[in-house]
Amino acid sequence: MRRLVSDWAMAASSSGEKEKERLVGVSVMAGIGSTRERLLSALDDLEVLSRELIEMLAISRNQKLLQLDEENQVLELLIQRDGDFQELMKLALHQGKVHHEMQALEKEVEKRDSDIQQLQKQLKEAEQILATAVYQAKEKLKSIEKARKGDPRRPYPTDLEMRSGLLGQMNNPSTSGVNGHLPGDALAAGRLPDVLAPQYPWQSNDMSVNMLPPNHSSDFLLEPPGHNKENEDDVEVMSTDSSSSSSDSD
Amino acid sequence: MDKDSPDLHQDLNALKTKFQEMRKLIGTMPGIHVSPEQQQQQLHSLREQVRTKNELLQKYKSLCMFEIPKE
Repeated sequence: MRRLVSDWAMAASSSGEKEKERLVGVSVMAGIGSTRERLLSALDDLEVLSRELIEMLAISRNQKLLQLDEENQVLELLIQRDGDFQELMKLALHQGKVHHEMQALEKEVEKRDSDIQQLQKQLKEAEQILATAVYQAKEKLKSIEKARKGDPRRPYPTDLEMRSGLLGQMNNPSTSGVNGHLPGDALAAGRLPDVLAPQYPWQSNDMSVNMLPPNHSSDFLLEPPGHNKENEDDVEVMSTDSSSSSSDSD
Repeated sequence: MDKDSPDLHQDLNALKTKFQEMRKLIGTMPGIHVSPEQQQQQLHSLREQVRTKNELLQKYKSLCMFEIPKE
């Protein structure tokens, strides 16, 4: 401790203010190390100087020795070091405020990171959905293209395909409101049950009233299989529709 | 006053205790583990990060070209 004080004193006495400033500048103003280290260093110097001054004063009073110059130098150094310490404390308080601002910024950065990760996850999901949709669309286009070209092994539609088509649906009494008319060869071929057999207006009076719109039975021109003019009388007799005028017996 | 007097020792011990308390207090102060210059660099870096991430988020949000139907 005494060496430190003597170094300070020698610096102050030998080369005056400039040397003193140099020593002070090296330890304080140059900013070597963190603010905490500089504060602790200044505090150590203050403790040493203050103890030294107290001891010098005690010795001089006890021994009645005048050490005014040395005591003054130590006192000046103590005051100066205390000034440095006060400046460092102001700096430390300012750094404390900046530190709080940095903590707030770090929280904001964390939140932004979380938002970015969330968006990335959603983009990945959207990418997967789009990829699946594109693949399915391509497959659909392929099947359409293949359907247009048809199957070279069988260029004509099958019986099942015909019945499932529009014409088949039209002739099906369960799906249409009018008597279904199937090709006569279908019944003749025995492939259809009687329930699906074509029902003509002259076969059933009730059916003619229920199934055909009024005043339009004369519009019904389709002839049943095997029909000929010889049977027109039978047809005419059986029909009770007063509006019927299409038949003309010979 | 004698240099070795008990009053002097007592005063010096009290002074020592005060300085130790000061050291403890300095140890608890936030933000002074770095120099002011280093702290300013860190502050600048953090502000830059926030600005960049805000821009990125804005860019992501503006990428949505179609409305997502609510289920």
